[in-house]
Amino acid sequence: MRLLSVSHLELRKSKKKYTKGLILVLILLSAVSLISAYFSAIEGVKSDSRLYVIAGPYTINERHFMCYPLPLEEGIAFVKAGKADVALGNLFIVTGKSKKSLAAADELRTIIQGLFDEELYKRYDSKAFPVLVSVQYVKRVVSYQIGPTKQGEGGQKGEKKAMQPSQTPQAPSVKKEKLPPSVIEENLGAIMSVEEKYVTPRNFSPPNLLGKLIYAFFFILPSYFAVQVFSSSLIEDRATKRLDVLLSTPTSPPTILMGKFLPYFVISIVSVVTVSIALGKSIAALVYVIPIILFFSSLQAFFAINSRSYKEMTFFVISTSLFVTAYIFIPAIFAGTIPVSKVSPITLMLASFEGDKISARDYIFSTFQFYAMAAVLYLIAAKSMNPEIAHSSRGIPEKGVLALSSLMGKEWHAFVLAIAAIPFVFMVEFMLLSVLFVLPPEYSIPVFIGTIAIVEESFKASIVLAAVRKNLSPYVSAIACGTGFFAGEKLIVALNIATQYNTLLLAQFFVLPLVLHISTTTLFAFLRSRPLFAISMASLLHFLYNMAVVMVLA
Amino acid sequence: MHRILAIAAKDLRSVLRERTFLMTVALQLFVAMFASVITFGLLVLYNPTYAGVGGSVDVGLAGNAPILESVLKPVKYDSIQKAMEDFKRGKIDALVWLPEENLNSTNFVRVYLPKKEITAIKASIFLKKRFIEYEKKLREMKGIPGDPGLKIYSTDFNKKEVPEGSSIPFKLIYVALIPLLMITTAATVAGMYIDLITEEVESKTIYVLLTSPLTPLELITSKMLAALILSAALTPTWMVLLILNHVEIHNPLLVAVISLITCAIFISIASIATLAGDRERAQLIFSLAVIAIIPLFFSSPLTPVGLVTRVAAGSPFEAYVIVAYIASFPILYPAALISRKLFRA
Repeated sequence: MRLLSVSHLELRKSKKKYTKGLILVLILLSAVSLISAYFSAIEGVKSDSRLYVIAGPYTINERHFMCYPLPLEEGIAFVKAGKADVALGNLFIVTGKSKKSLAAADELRTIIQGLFDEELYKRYDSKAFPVLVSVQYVKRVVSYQIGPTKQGEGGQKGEKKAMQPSQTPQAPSVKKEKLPPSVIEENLGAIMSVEEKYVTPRNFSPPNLLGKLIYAFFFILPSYFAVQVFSSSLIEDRATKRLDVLLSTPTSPPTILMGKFLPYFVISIVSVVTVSIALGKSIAALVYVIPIILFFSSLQAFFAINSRSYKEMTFFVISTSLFVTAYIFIPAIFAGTIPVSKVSPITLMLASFEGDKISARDYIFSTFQFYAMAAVLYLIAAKSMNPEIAHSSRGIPEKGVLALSSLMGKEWHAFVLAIAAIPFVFMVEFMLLSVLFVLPPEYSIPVFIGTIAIVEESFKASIVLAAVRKNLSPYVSAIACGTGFFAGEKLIVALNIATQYNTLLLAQFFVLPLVLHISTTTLFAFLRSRPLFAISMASLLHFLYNMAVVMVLA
Repeated sequence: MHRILAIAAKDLRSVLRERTFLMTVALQLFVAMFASVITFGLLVLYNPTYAGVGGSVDVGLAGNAPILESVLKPVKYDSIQKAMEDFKRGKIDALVWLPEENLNSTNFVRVYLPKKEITAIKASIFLKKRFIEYEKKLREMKGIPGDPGLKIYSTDFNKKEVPEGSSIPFKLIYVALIPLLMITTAATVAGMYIDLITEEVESKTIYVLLTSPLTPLELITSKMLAALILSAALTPTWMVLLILNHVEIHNPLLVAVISLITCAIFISIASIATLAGDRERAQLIFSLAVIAIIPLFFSSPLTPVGLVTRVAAGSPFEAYVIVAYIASFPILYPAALISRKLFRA
């Protein structure tokens, strides 16, 4: 009941702020954004026009290229001098050494191929296209997939037999061949249709959901705005001390936080439902978007309460939006190819739009961490609403430790907190893994192991530090924390949710990791008077241990 | 002038004190990494050998298709049922089905690929090459030219192998990454401008400041100056980050100028958005406006994004457009005049 009255209060505040004039401005701006997005979707990216220069006797009329009509020798001289990227002769391209020259040659080749196909179509009609290909993806049981996924197989078998490749497809659309297949140029209509298509061999491309990702943005974007307004309102209440007034009432901090969030949560849900209806998709999309909204909002609530100024908050709003977007969209790029892509609910949402059945196991695998992190963050945010923490001028990590310490009463609480830290560690490490594996392996492995050590030790250290602040025994808490962390890691392995990722967590060992986690936390506890130095030492120990294990294994 | 500088310096100091500046650099690093992951993803989709997943693929063929068979060199099956069984058991990586090859009309080939397996990418790359070869053969049998026969040479007329898709990483860096870093910088800086103003308004320190001889216009100018100085510090940072990553930036000075102008455009919008009164509303209006502008920025070669792409890549660009943009730099002044109204109340 109190929750609703807080929500009511929040709405009343908003009502005062959002006058008719402002709402009109907002609607107008949204309309302009929609029109601009629509216009760009139709027109495609044009900012890459005139990027390359062709010199030589032959020219081409295509927006990527600028042409200098010159005799061939001069054209080649231009390429050599770097004044042109490629020279075009009679059925040959002369390219320079730079990356740009090679890119220009690649692009030009694709365009000429397209023009050639177009010409063939003009001269010989569909006779020039004797081969048309269509693809069907069939699920099969493979050893390294996440869990046994049996559902949906029987049905597909039946379908396959029913469909004959003798269906008469449409004539090849030659226009499409002008340009390389690209996400940007794919129009919305093509993205929406899931029907089987026959294409020429050149347009036959590997599976990817890249085009459909644009789709997913429509589901997520409105909620980003709702959450942004929520966190803005929260930081404002904190700055104007309105929050302190609310806290002096018998309403508990978590209730206040939830009550304030409720209206924005409802707005987010309405927006997702609206988008589902507008795009003709099932409102089941909600079950995939809700965990993301909850996590995103909890992250922002935490920062709104703990950031020292609006400037700091703006930075966190931008970075959390980017971070969360990357975490949910990057895996979806690899959807349908790498099993780990399932860590993102977006992958599952797109798969369900494609008509796949999503197993409960997959759903839990991708969303559990979001729910868990949201719960933990909301709890910490509620604890930080304490005026002593919220109004202090300390940095965010320090405030996080203070909030954690107010959650602790006994040494064994460190055990629980360490388990609760696992989803965060998992997320950070996953992001690191995905950005670091582009480095050459001789660097990426030590860098990755090093950053893992720092990340894990920082999380554990903040828990031990929180215990120390609460005047709990540092060593008992350190052991509890190390054991908890170990237990959390093994829990992931036991549930077998991380699959291939396990080898990277070095999960096949049992006693050694336990010893490791306890010794690093104890080392930290021992050196705790200089926290930064202590974290560095603990990380170093962790790093050396992991490197040694990798060496032994290799 | 002195007063303006003093306030700008105060704001910049607070940005440094909170380490926000360092974190913004971290943010740029993150954007760069994000882009490299996407590049990598695209590369893998076009050419899986990049990810070390290349190699041989076992393809099965069902149906009566001698020419396709000669091209594919497949495991041959008499019935589709038998082939499908083997495919399901994982004995073959991909299954191609062409019931009856027809030399006089179109052949509709059905391909079965494993769902949610990396093999599917490998197999589809392999099959694409083979199908193109098959198409060429069939065309030539009909007396139609098989392919354009285009050759690529280096400048000393040696044959040059250019892998398909090699333009993708190049375009991602110059058409997406550099413009995105520029936009991120502008949006961060303009967002901070909103904060600098609304923080003073909401904590009521603005009234103290305005009782001093400082005019509202001077106050706004000082905040704009702080934001511009910040952007002038951030732009070289991402440029250095890129250069350290072996990305060549031609004409760095001009790139910096375009980036600064983009910041000025964003700050002008932010300045008008502050008229909404508080941070919440101003940031909301500003974000919506940015969302509206970003797609437009990518829609023409003459926008700041189009220009920065070509200037950084070392392509020819229209100098008069850059001059026009530099000339429009004073757009900040009318924006400041308009936003002055905020302090009337």
